[in-house]
Amino acid sequence: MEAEIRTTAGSWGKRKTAACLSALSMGLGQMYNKQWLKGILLLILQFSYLVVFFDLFNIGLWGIVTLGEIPHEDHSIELLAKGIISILLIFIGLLFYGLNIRDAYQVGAMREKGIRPPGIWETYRTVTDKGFPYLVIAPAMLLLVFVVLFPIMFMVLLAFTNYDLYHQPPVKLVDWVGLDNFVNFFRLDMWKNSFVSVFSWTVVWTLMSTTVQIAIGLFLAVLINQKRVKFKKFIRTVLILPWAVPPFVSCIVFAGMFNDNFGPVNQMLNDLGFASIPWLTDPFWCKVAILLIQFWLGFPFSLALYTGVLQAIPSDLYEAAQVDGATVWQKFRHITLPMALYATAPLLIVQYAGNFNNFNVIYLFNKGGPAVPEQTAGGTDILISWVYKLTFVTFKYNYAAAISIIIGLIVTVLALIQFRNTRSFKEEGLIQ
Amino acid sequence: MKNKTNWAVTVPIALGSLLILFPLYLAIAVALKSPEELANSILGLPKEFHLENFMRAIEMTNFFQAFQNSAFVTVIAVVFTILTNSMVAYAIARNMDKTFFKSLYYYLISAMFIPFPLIMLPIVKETSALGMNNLFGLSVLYIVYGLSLNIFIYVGYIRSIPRELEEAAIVDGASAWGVFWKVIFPLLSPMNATVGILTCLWAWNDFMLPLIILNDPEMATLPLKQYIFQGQFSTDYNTAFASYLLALSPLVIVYLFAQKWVISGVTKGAIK
Repeated sequence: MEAEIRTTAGSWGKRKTAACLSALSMGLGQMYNKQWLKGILLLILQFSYLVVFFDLFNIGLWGIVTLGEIPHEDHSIELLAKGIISILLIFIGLLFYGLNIRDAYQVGAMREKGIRPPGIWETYRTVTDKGFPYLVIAPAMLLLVFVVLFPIMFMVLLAFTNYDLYHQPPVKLVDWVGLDNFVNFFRLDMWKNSFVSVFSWTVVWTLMSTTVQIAIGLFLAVLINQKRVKFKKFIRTVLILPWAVPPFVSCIVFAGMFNDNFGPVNQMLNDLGFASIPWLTDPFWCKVAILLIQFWLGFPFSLALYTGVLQAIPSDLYEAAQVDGATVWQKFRHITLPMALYATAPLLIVQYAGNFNNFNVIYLFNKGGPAVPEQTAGGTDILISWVYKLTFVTFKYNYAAAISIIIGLIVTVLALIQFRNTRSFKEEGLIQ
Repeated sequence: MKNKTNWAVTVPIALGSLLILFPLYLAIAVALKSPEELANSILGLPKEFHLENFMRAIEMTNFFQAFQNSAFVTVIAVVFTILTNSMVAYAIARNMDKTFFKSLYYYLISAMFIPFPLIMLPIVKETSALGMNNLFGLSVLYIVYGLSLNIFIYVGYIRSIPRELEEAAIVDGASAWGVFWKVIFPLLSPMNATVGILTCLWAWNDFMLPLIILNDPEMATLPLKQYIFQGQFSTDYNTAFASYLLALSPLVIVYLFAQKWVISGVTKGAIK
């Protein structure tokens, strides 16, 4: 057989024969290229892949389409999960299949040029050495598939089902409902109002808490950095201390302090002749309290950061400004501020992202409460705590999924705009 | 004039520091008082130290168990985050000219912005299906979810390391593996410190992942334990605050002793 092909080598070539054989079945092309061991290994890999996963693919692909047919017997959510895993595994399989064809083609091309194909030992050396970066990131990639990609696919699909408290497998089946969740979401006042108020509060919360905590940190760093300030070290230690206190403890302590009836904050207000403020029961005051707490929690990190930044700004800049007769404010505005912000831009964005997802403070202070009539979200719920409640407290998985997708889309768009606009994110200069 | 203290600045920030300390003072004062004393005055100094509050808190919450759990998760997370994430970052940083690695890098960076609720429910189902709803599984999640930020921190730094060092090692016959561990990894120590500190703070303080992942109360980490017992303490503020103080003391003590190192670690990693 080989002799035959060799005669037609001119037009067709060993590379194409090898590639075609490998396309027929993994490993055949490699054997044709006389890489026997590699070929046999690939062949075994392919058959074990098929044998091991055939049943899963069979049930998974059927399951993801139908979501099960018999209540009590078919578990819709498991079927959905199996379906997604099947699709991911098929994708990974195809990737290897493609690499196998490419390899056969390349080795075939080498043989056409009369180069002896590398043996198994050489291949091993190349893989461990040149392929080092790939080997290193492979486990990370695989884990990311299962803890990021799979969950996202699962959640996206869930948004198109009726999975909730009344459709809990295995007793009941879950069905595909198309866009129903999204339609209801924008039609029913209860959901629409909740979404609008939660979303706007999330935006206000993210922008206010982060901006103010950064501003306080920068301001204090500048103050402490002034010349001739006493007890510098001590003051710095104290001011950064809240950072070392776990937020869960601070939040619970603050929840006690702001207690409507016997909290010290109200007691002090009373002593000063003011009326008690309903910190925990009035949505507005609850928001104020949470913002104050986040300022307390958040500024020490910025302070620590800017203390380092300020010391790195060359002092001749200030001396030159001094000579030109710049005021304190002008020095701050045109030297300190731009230098400090530029040096920390990526971390600022990380802080905004962190507060957007700041579940700790919201949930530990007042569980997102107080309750608001005719809404499914509490007065201080941000998106993350709302979705948490929908998922783990009221079991409206389908709505939780739909909301997550909407958030995901918004965040993606914002992040893209941000990436385009932030100079320091451009190219490799992520960290200035 | 030269050595005169700038009182106009010193006094306000000194007062500001006291304001910062106030909640902490309050927590300590409440923890040391008896219920009767607390009813009389919340703000006043405790007349005598009721250390039995702490004993009761330790017994009630099984403090040492929770402490062990938190320590286990944090140590595993920190050690393996540093070992694995630095290696992944090295692989990416040295291959940024390849489209594959470059897009992987941007994929990881954008993962920083994925809202966690999006993947919360599936993660819970997945970990329990795989039998990973335990402390070990929790550590693995910290290692993987930290990847985005850590890659971001490491890659910038690795790119500033001249390639000549590696080339010299390769000439001496080192493998890619050897080059990383013998040449690159030691050079990364400032970044390892930054990443280690941030991971430590995160894993030790996190409340959300333990809340949704762990369902065996025996495995509860310190934050989760406080949350579980918040209801049981109900009006027993003294025991409750004693328990909170116990929970916050380990990190505060570490901070007070290592603060210079911690602060410089964070700033070094953040800015160059």
